[in-house]
Amino acid sequence: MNDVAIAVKDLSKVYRLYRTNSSRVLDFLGMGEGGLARGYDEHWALKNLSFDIAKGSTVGIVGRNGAGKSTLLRLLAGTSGPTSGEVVRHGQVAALLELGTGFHPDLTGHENIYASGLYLGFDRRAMQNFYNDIVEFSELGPFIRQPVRTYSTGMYMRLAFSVATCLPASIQVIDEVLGVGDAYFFGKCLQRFRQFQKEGRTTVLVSHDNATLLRLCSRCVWIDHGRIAADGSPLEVIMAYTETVQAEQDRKARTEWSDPGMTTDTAFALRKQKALEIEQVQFLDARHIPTSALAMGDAITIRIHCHSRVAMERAVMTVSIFRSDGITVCNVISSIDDVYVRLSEGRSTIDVQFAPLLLGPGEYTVAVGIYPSLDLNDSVSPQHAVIWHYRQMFSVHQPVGIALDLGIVRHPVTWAICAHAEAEERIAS
Amino acid sequence: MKCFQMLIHHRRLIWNLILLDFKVRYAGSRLGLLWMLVGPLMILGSYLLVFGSILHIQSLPGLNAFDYGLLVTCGLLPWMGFSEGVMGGTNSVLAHRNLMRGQLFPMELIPVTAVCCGLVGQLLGTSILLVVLGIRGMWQISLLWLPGLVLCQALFTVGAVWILSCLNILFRDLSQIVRLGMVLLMFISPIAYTTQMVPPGLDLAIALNPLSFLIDGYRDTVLLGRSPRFVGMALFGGAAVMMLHMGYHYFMRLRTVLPDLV
Repeated sequence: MNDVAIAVKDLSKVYRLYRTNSSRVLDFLGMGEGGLARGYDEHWALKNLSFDIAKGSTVGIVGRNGAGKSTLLRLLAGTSGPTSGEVVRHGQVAALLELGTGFHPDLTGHENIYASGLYLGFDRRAMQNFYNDIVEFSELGPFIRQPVRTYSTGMYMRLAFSVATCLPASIQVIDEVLGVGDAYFFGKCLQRFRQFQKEGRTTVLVSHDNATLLRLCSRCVWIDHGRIAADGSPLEVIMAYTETVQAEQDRKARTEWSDPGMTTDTAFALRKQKALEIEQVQFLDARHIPTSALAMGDAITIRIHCHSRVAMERAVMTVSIFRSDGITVCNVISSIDDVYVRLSEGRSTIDVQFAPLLLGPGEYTVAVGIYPSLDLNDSVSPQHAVIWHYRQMFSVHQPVGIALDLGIVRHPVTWAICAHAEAEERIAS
Repeated sequence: MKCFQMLIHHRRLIWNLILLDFKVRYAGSRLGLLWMLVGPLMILGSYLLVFGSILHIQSLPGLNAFDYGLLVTCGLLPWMGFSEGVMGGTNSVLAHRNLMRGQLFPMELIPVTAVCCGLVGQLLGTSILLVVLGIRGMWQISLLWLPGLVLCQALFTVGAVWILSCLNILFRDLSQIVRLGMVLLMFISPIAYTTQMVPPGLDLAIALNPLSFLIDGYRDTVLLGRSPRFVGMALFGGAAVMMLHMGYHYFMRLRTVLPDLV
């Protein structure tokens, strides 16, 4: 069991929701189990969870609000005890569940660093080893000698994050605290996590920012209603999760949007009767051989196989390419190119050619969507208007013979080289 | 005894927490620690005015008016330490609840720290009292009992506060009740009077009050130059250790559920 950092066995957590305060007090004094007059309802925040977290791995936890993510983190960190089951930790745990909990507003940043150290079990002498690191990382400069109450939210959070991550711990449990600063500080935080990964620290983090999870995690766990809904590679889990959320939003959208002019209803009806299905998306290289790994600069064709049960005259097709960190690299919409897809009943294929492919090395996800019609001015409804969408991954590697980083885009350019003397000559003549 | 081991193991941390507590309490205040003396001196002054000058309480035979002042001080100091410890301790866990949610911290130390902070005023006052006595040449060998007395008081208070601080989380009215209880305790404890002055019908109330042992002990050792009554001392010491033990077990049993309750 040496390679396991945290082992979770059959873990459950029940919260008692008391109907009155007196039933709470009675239960606390051991008199609430009277059977007849149970003064509380049970809420199973987590139910029979079992999984292991490998040493050195970075595990992301996703799920809706109230799914039990934070409860799970608290149990993993040990700040709260399980109702049944057990959590076995191999290593020292640092919990970052709430930032800056130990800060006293009237003390200066300097004093607060030592104070939080104390709460985390490091005395003054031990903290001196980390002090410079913390101050440097927080970039508070002279403000470190000012009372914390004078800090802006960003400064406060920066200090808290620095304190929490500069201390040594082999396991880190982090709840939704990454969005604490501006983009610059966020980048620094990510770098810090990368460094932890290099050092072999184990990290468990909750985030609603899928892009961050995709960037950082080696594994994702999706918690839904206190159970594990999916567990595996970040991309698969996050895609499954976002699709469910999407489906739910669609359901809501149907009840919320009553505007008859909207295409949602038509799309929804079509979707419901499975009027159209994208059965497969293929990536074909220049020789028309299906592949999922391409070289930068190659010509590729995205071939979409769909099966339509109704004929469509002017459907709109979109092909979106996302980088693995969630950035939308490009969004190709057929109606912009004045192309409308005409589909007859039965199977058909649509080819979209990218020649050459300008994307730089990396992992990409392609999302293909077919819409009965698409309003280019409406940034909200498209996701509800789609009849069918399909996602698939491919990767792009460096062209053969080039090891230099070519960036994220290989932009077509024209070069013009002109020696100065020649130019003057030309002007003179 | 697990609780003693725990206290000894964390002694440095407790000391640092006490320092931190004072730093937080007096951050930005001009007089700082001096405030610890202002309150007690005011109470002492009013006691002397009301009971000594207005009501002319007959103090012990052989003691003059100044000695009456010392007598009141000897009663006031342990009461002050005790009540500050109990009041601060009862609120302490609730006041530091964010420590439970965010990180791993041995919460059982928080009530201990609060009690120690309450004791600081008492110890400060006691040292001033000892200086005054030293100047008047009234130091006696019985003073050696004093640390033992204070230690028993501390252990008793910590035990009580471990229980009270837990209950206060559930039953938030408790801190108000405790506050009133401490005011009441100030009057039913032999601070302005001595146990000998209590009429026979009421001496049960005195006997049941743990503070009366403590105050009597303080007076015996500091003023009267005799060792504390053995029975009282033994009872008090026993009660202290028992209370500490009970409180610790109660607190540790609830520790895992506390974060869900605050």
